[in-house]
Amino acid sequence: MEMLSLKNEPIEVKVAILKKMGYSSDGTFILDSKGNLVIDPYIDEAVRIDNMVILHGSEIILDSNPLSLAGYFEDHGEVF
Amino acid sequence: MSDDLPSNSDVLAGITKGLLEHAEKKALDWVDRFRNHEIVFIEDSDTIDRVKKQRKSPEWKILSEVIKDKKLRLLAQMGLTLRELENDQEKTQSLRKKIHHKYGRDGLHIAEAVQNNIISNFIGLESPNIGEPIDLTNRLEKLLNNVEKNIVFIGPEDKEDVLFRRVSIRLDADVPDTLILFGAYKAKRTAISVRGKIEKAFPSYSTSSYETKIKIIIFINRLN
Repeated sequence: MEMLSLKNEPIEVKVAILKKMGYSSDGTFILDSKGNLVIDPYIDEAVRIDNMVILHGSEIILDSNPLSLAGYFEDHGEVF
Repeated sequence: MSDDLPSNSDVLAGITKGLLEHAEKKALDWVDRFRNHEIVFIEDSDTIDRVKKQRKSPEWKILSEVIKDKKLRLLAQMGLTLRELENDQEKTQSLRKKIHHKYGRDGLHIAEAVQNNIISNFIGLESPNIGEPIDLTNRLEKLLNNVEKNIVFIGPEDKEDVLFRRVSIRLDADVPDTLILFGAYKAKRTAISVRGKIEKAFPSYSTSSYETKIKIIIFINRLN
């Protein structure tokens, strides 16, 4: 599975991706369909649009950091 | 300005509209590919590559065979990450903050125990004496779940006498199977002095150690 980096993509592209998936952004954080902050369960912190990863497993949006990613691999295996 | 030419604001609006349409089209295509399980979206590949590489390391292979508890496995892996990031102060601090926020001081100490090779050395020392793998798992997980009681991280300002009293009280009161002292730099000297006193005062315990130029791990084990 290909890893597509959003690092150099403009915020418009990131917002459009989120919108297609039923999310939105206040410009800093990611919001779910009800307007609540999306919380990364592996660190208990809100996910920022400038540091997000979107992974499989019911479309999981996480913060890009070692703790969250290791937690994801523990739960889902190395699926990509 | 002629009526036939678009104004600057019209041009800007046109460019913005074009950019948004391009972004929309790109996003739609990518989301389709995501839903077909062809791609995942990441920020930077360094973080993911680091985590993946670590999960393939020989040390993680050993740790993951012994540690079964999900939280402890994650903290052990973070210990390996902290070790790898030791020369990058900013990333180290950011990760320490995240570990502390989620798992508290105990969680951070568990990660530090792995970072400083305490746990791998513990496994190395204990493995030959343990019959079944599950016994090693139970022993290690018990040690980690009581990290504050079982591992003493000696600080640079800790005084030898105060530390000796603290360790003595713990050995007398809890009678642990293993108590571990860890000291680096200035604290290494303190750890060595305390070890000498423990050996004299507690004949029912034996000590062994692993040391490098800058740090020492002292295992104080109860004799059967």
